[in-house]
Parts: sequence; C-alpha cells; structure tokens
Amino acid sequence: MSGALDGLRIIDLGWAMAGPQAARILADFGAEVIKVESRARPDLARVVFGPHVGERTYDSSGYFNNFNRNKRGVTINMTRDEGREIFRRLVTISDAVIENFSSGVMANWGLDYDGLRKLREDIVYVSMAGLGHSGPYVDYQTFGPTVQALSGLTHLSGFSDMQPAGWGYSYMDHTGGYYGAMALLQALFHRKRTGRGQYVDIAQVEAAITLTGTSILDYGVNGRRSDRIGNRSGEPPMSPHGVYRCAPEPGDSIGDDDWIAIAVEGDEQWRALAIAIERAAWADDRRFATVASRIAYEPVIDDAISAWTRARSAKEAQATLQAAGVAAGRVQRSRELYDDDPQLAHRGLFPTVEHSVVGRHRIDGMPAQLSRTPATFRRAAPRIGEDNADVFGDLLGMTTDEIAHLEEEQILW
Amino acid sequence: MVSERALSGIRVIEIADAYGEWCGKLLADMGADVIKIEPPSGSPTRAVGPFDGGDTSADGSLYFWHCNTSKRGIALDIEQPRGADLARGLIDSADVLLETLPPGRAAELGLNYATLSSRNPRLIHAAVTPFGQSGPYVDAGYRTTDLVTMALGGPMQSCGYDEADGDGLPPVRPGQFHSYHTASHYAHITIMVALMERETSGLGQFIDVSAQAALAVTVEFSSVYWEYEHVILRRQTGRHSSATQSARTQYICADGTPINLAIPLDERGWQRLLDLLRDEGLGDQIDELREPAKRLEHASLIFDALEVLTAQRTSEDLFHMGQRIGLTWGAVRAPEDWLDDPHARDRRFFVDVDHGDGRHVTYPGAPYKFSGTPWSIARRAPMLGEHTRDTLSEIGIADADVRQLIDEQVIVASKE
Repeated sequence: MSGALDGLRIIDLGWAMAGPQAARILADFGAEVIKVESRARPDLARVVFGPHVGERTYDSSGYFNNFNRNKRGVTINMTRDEGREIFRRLVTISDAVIENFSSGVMANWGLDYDGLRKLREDIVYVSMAGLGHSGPYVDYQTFGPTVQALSGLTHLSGFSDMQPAGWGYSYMDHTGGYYGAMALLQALFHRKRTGRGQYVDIAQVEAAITLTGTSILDYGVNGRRSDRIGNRSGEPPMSPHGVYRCAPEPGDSIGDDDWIAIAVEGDEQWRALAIAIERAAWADDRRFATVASRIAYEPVIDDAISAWTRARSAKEAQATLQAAGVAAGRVQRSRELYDDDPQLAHRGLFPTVEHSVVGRHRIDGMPAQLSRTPATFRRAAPRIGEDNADVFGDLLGMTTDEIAHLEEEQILW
Repeated sequence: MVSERALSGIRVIEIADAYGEWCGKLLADMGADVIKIEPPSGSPTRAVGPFDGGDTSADGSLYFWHCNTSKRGIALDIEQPRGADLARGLIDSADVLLETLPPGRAAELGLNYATLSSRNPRLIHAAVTPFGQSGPYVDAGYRTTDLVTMALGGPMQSCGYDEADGDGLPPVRPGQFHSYHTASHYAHITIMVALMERETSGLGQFIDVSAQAALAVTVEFSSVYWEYEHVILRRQTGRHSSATQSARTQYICADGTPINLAIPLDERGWQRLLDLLRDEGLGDQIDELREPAKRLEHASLIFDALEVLTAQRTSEDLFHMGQRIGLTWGAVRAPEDWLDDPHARDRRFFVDVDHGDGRHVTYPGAPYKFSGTPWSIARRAPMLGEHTRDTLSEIGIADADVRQLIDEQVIVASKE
C-alpha cells in the first residue's frame, strides 16, 4: 500500500518527546523520516525515560520505541565540523527539517533558517523551542511541565480551593508535537503548490495559551480572572457532574482506585439517572427539577450517586447508566485502554511492531482512519545508528569503508 | 500588501459542534475559506458561556467567538430536504467537509461520503465524533460530554493529587475542553495529510476521527508502562504520575502562587542550582550535595532548601532567577497573566480583532509563526446567518430564491 506522504523526506532532529511526536505522525503516513541523533548528546528518551527492557542501553527504552517507530535512525556528531558537513549534505536532499532544541543551538551550528536555505532554497524548517526564537525569554528552557505551568494549563486543572493538580504527564509534549505536525504539513502543502519553502517558529507556550479556552476573552471582555473548577461542569452548566468512586473489580490486585465520570446534560437525563441509581422518587422531585436547583442540592445528590457507584464496579456502573441514556464512563487506566475497551479494540488502535532489543510490543497507533491512505506501522524505532549504512550509503553515496571510518572517528557517532 | 496564505483557495464546509469547531478555526486562521453551516437556531455552541456581559443571545457567546474566528456562517436547516440540497450544493464547491454529525445521520440526510464523493471525487470528508463511526459504543448509543470522554480516553487516570493532599480525592479533569482540542488536532493533521495526497492522486477520501482514540494516544508514560511492565501509574499533585512516589516539583511561593521547580537532569544544572541556593543564603545546608554520590542519601536537604527558597521569593522572581541560569523552572501562571508580559508583547502574540461595533477584542494569537504564510484572524466569528446571502449567491442561488427560502424557514439570513 502506498502512503499518503510517500516521497517526502523529513530530517527529525527532535529529542525527548515534542519533536519526535511531530515527525512520528508524518512517518505514520509514509514520509521517510530520518532521525538524526548522536552519542555525543544522547536523547533523553533513550537513556532517561523508561521503561527499559533488560539492561539499560541506548536501545532498551519502550518510550523511545513508541515515539520513533516508522523512522530511520542515523548518528551524526554535530559538535564536529565533519559531522555538520555530512548533515548539510543530507539537507540538500531533504524536504523539511524539524527540531525542538533550545533556541540558539541551530544558529551556533550555522544551521538556522538562513543557513539551511543556502543548502536547499525551498526547505521547510519547523523549530519548536519552548518560548520561541525571539523575545526577552528567548534563552529560557522548558520541558512539558514547564510549558504547562507557564501557559495556564496547570492553573486551570484542579480544585479551586486547593493548589493546582496540573496535568499528570506532558500533555504539551504531545500537543506541541501536534502543532509541529500541523506546521510541517501546512508549510509542505504550500510548498507543493508554490515551490516556496519557509520557516516556522513554534513557541510551545504560545500554542498552549491558545488552548486555555475562553480565559483570555473572558478577562478582556468581562474582567473575570480564570480559575480551575475541578470536575464541575462550568460552562455549559450540568448537574450532577462529577467523578464518583466505584468498587474494585472482584479479585483486582491493582487496589481501590476505580472511578466513574457522570455528566447529566438535561432534565431528561436527570430523571433517567435518578431511576438508574434507585432514587426513582427524585425523578419528579421539584427540588431537583432544574440544573440550577440540582446545583444547589449537589452535596445531597453526589452522596446518593456515590453510595450507588461504590457498590458496583466502574464497568457495571458505566453499562447501567449508558443503557439508561446517561453520559457516563469509567476513568480508564492504560490497562483498560489497551486491554479492556471494546471500542478502542474495534478500531485496532494499538498495533504491534517488532524491535530487535525490546521485542514485540504494541504502540500507540493512529486515532484517525483514512479510507484510502491509512497510517501504516512498518517498523519499530531504530537502534542508535541502525540505518547509518543505508542512509549514508544509499542516499549520500558513501562506501562501507568510509562509513566505518567515520564511525570510528566518532563523526558518524 | 495581502499576505500569501498557506491554505488559500481551500474551501471547507463545516457542519460541526465543539468536537470539530476548533479544527475549522485552525484551518480558517491559515487562510482556508471555512463556511460554517448552522441550524436556523444556531450552533449549540452559541449557547455555551461565558458570554459578552449579559448578552446570552446567539451572538454573545465568548466560547463561540473563540472557536469560530475567520469563518463565514450560513444558517441552513439541513434537516429539511431543500436545506440538505443546498448543503450538497455547497459541498460540491468545496475541498473539505468537516462534520460532527452522529454516526449514521449523514447518510439519512444524503450527506454521506458515498453520495458526496460521487458528485465531487476530490472531496475530503472528515467526520469527527466522540467514538468514531462504528463499534460497540456507537451501536449502544453511548452518550458523552468532555468530562466523560476525558475519562474514557485516559488523560484523567494521571491527573489529580497525592493522597497526602486529601483522602480519597478523585481523578481530575484538566479544564477547558481538551477532548475537543485533541480530536480537532487529529482532524486538522489528517485533513492536511489528505490534501497533500490529493495533490498527487487527484482524489479525496473519508476520514474517521475518534476523540476517545485521539486522547488514548495522548497519555505519555502510562501506556508504555502498562504495555511493557504491566504497571499502573499513580496520580501526584502538580507533576507526572508515577509507578512509585516521586519528589514534589510544585512549591507554593511567598506570594501564594505555585511554581514548578524541576530538579536538573544534568550535572551542570545541579551545580547552578546549588550556586543559586548559596547566593540566596542557603549554602551552609546544602554544600554536601556538590558531590553527586551524596545526593541520594541527602535528598531531603535539597527539598528542604527549596521549601525555604520558595517561602522567601515570589514565583515570578524565582522563575526568572532559575531560567537565567538555565534551570527549566516555570511559574504557574494564569493565561491572562500573559497579557502584559514583555515576552508576549515583544512577539506580538495577542491580537486585537475588530468586532465591527467599535470594539476591538483581544484573542490568543498564532500557535505557530510562519515566515512566508502567516497565521492571522481574518474576521471575528460570524453572527448567526451573517453570510447566508453571500455563500448562497456564490453557488448561484438567485435573490428571489433566497427570499423564498427565508419565508419557508429553510434558511436564516441577517438583513442586507
């Protein structure tokens, strides 16, 4: 099957997660993504982020495997002149370059947009530093949690009478990566239609601020400051609306941490809920007839819901409430996502790839299904330098001896 | 001079609620001609607050304003045969249909891919729904909201508090509708993939986006820890969920505002952190930590020092102090704190959009800065029926027919 992006060659200088996430999506649709890395500056995702299979080496990380499948992997020591010269040769035969280094790294190598454009006039170059490539904070450095803290995403998550809960993972590494992929695709589309390349400067913090909903507008228009609202509905108002404790599945060794989210969208759903949780008398109780009145009685209603959910598993509660027409879903852990969700299984969301070190494992697949040119999962992530021979040999015409020599000299390193 | 736009000449017909609106905005702000078809009563998202002061009319929703910039709007009842006909006419003129109809509904209306592509083979039809077009949850008629999709999709498993911060606290949904954002991000990406592919093949295709699935691949560590080690990660306050409890990274500063103080991952960062603590008068207690080998044994020293440090400085002070020496620290800001921030001002991040009534309203700006084809908000969100006449006239509907369609309540058009 031919991929939608067959024939595109992308250089992925990304490391950790945001950059690799962006390039991964293009690789899933058939682009030839060449991941350029170096033992001189090993990718955190290879050496720090687990889990590792067996002895911890550059090639043992399951995390790295997940974010770099479908890519070819080469090593170039960019701290060496000879290394950068080989990188330049790669740029001349590529369509795009993406990286998520701190600001200044590429410029120090003479490989900012002006440098890259001299090598290939129509290159698309997407750079995704945390705070972008201009402005007084240009030298500031971020990881996902920093981006989330600065942008307001952390502030907006949690109970209003407590410190923020924040995001328990790097949402903005995924989502910064999504904006990287959007930027690459839009710039490549423009190039395909006009022949013109360009430079895209992504400040991940700015992308994150666009995802804080109406916070900016509400402040500007109404002078109202943003706040976190826990699991309450906020806008539009719904009640009841929350996350309720369930009983663990019988025999489950994971412990007592099962929850169900319930959101009642209107008075009809309220009546259905009241009957489902065995409070039929409440269905027509005038005290609970409107959203506003139910919000006023929320503690009473929440107690009744909790008493009902606590007596059954989240799975059972979900089935019962959905059958009654109430929006309800368990808080699924990755165990449930991977192994116990019939809907995700129906979509085949987690394909398997075989990696010579970590073995056969499932990876996070593609949540959008294209009818003619679907994503494909053709290989696991590269071992470090795995594709040096193919890329430097086939694409740059180096001989086997030459490549071996440059590896020995720690240039292809 | 009019700037070149990345998506100029691309027409998108949007029949979308919150799951797809954000995608439409992303396309429109890059230059696509996005025509939003709404029912005569208006998109349901026009009823979502907060509102412009007390204006709860169809045109007063800030939520709607935020998610529908740069689009044109037509109020058209696709539930009536004549309305569906007009929709098909508009879609015939389009490159992309972006819709969020319940699975099966498009076919009932004659707006399904088989029908539309036989008339317009170049059409890219993206359907964005909570669970996708088929499967057990779809068959069972599952209902959902942002909260429920965020639960079923997986993000909430990792978001919440340490047990020490409160007994029995539930997982928490991060605020501001990230199930909609994430579904829209995948819709945008795959529409672009299909547009790229169409340049070669000349053919469109159908795209089925599931919001739940989009979230389920947006959970970082929890999926690999389950797949490789069958380990479940536990929620922790203000930092990554973890298999075993990890040190806190969120501290409350002297001004009551939190800050994220990550411990450096490299030796140079450690030495700089210790220098900073020394300069702040905390050197006596932490000098032992200069030696990497001693850090594990004396780990509590660094956390005690950070407690003292944060108690004597504001989060903004510490944010800049740390960043100036290369530490990846971040103050926990509210989004609106950026409005008068020098960095945002220097980068001209926020944009003022002319609302045509003498008002300019400030919006978040570009998520990406394109050098050749800049992002921009071309216009504020459409008022209900604002572009009904224009868009129908573009597909050849005569003025007299427009008047009749208004009389028959097939369309709503604002006054000429």
